[in-house]
Amino acid sequence: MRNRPLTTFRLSLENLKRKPLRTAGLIVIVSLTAFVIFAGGILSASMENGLGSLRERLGADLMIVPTGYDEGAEGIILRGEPAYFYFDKSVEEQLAGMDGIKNISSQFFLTSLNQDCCDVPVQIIGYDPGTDFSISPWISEVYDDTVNDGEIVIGSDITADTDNQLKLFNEEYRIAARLEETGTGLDQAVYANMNTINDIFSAAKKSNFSFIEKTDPRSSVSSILIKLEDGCDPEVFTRNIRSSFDGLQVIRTKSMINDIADNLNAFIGIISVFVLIIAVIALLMLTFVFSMMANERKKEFAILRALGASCAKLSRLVFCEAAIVSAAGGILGTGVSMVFALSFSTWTGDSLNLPYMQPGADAIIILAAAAIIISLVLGPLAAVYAAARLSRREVSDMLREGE
Amino acid sequence: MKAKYIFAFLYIAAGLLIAIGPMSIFHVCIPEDGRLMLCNYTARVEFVLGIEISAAGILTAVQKTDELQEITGVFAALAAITEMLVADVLVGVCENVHMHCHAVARPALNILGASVLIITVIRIIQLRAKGGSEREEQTPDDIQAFT
Repeated sequence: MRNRPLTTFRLSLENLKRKPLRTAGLIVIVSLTAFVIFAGGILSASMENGLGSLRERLGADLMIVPTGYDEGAEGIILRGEPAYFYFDKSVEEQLAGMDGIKNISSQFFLTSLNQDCCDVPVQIIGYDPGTDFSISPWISEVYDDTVNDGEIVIGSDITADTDNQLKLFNEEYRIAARLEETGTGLDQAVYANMNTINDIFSAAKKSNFSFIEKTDPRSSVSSILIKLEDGCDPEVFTRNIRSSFDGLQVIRTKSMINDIADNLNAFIGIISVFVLIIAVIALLMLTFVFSMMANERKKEFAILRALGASCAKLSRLVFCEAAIVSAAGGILGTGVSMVFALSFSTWTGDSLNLPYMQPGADAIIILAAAAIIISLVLGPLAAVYAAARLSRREVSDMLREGE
Repeated sequence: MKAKYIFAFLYIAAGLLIAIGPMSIFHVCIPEDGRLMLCNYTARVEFVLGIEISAAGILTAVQKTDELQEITGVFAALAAITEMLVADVLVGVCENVHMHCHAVARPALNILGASVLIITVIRIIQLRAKGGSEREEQTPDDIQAFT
């Protein structure tokens, strides 16, 4: 038999192996804590990422839609719920004449089944490259060339066939570029210039897609985006539009983003409280169990003291056991949490109905490290009481109590 | 409780989840107008593979020798690998990332398959360690002392 030195670490490991069920229970408690810390962290970071992305992409201050279709417009932006609605294009020319406008551009919405995959409706957004200030900067990040007639740009979540073509209303369109992920409903849209939209519209009519009478991309628009000049009050401008035009609704994008930010902050607050409660409960349970463990091993500790182990050595033994349990639990819990969080990321974002964009690998690694470090601290912290009680005991007292 | 019953329970549980999950808790797409999609075929194949893994769990509970237990574990692991390949490559699911089969069913099946693999690895290590410690108990010195 090999003679290995009986170090504190080896003794701690053997002690933990002697009671496998209890050790497993302690590891589960720490794992749950690490799981919740990492999951809560990634949830919060992804929602903040999504909101930041939305702020970047929504270049307009105001979005004008027909009355009653503000929910539809928000559904397109936030949840990728396809919708279409129209009003007269002459409104854009009238609005362009108002003071305080820096940029103005219209969009035309269509919905179609993505016939390359699944029967899932796809949002088609037509934009005017000459006036657009919302989509074009986003396209230029991934595509240097001009998007020609007959070409489309797709959001990051759109499925396309291997020929780089997309079939809409039985017509094939070449995909010029795929946009970067935004974590919003805009990832599930297809973008085309107005000439291409006219083609798609004609194809839609040939496919018996029914439109309200007189709807036409040349004379109708679905929304008008407005960027105001610096110093122009959006509230005043909105009142002017409401008093000048009937049948129109004004969406202030800043208000929309602020509402989302409020929901997000409330959600993150709830997550934080939940994580704190779990951590406190775990700490209390671990403290109780370590105290109980120290209590039932009085004779063992007394023998070690009698053999010459100092009180500090006994305390180190207890801390070492706690640290081993914490390390195992922290790594296991964080690992499992990472697998679940990353695997179900899409479903989580869809379920929350909030902008949701997973952070990059570096942020995920930092979150994982934080969860493991907090878990590593939890065990030894819980063992402080038990270790302090041990260090105050005399050998004779321990032996007597152990009998 | 004997370790083999714990592993048997784990195999049976994982197998049942693989078999029934795609039709229930992490369901695939519901066919429209009787038209089956890729994910529907995946669910059918996963049902069979899940039953196989559960059967491996039952065998684990009733087998008496460690060698048979190892072989059963390897069989379960192969079924798990096939299960993951079916969901990802061999048959697959709908390509749209927001479809329930893609966002929920496929990752769930991958996690379950990986879990079966991990269970098998742990089981084989545990069986080998048990066999090794039984042999260690009878060291040459011990045997000599008896003779």
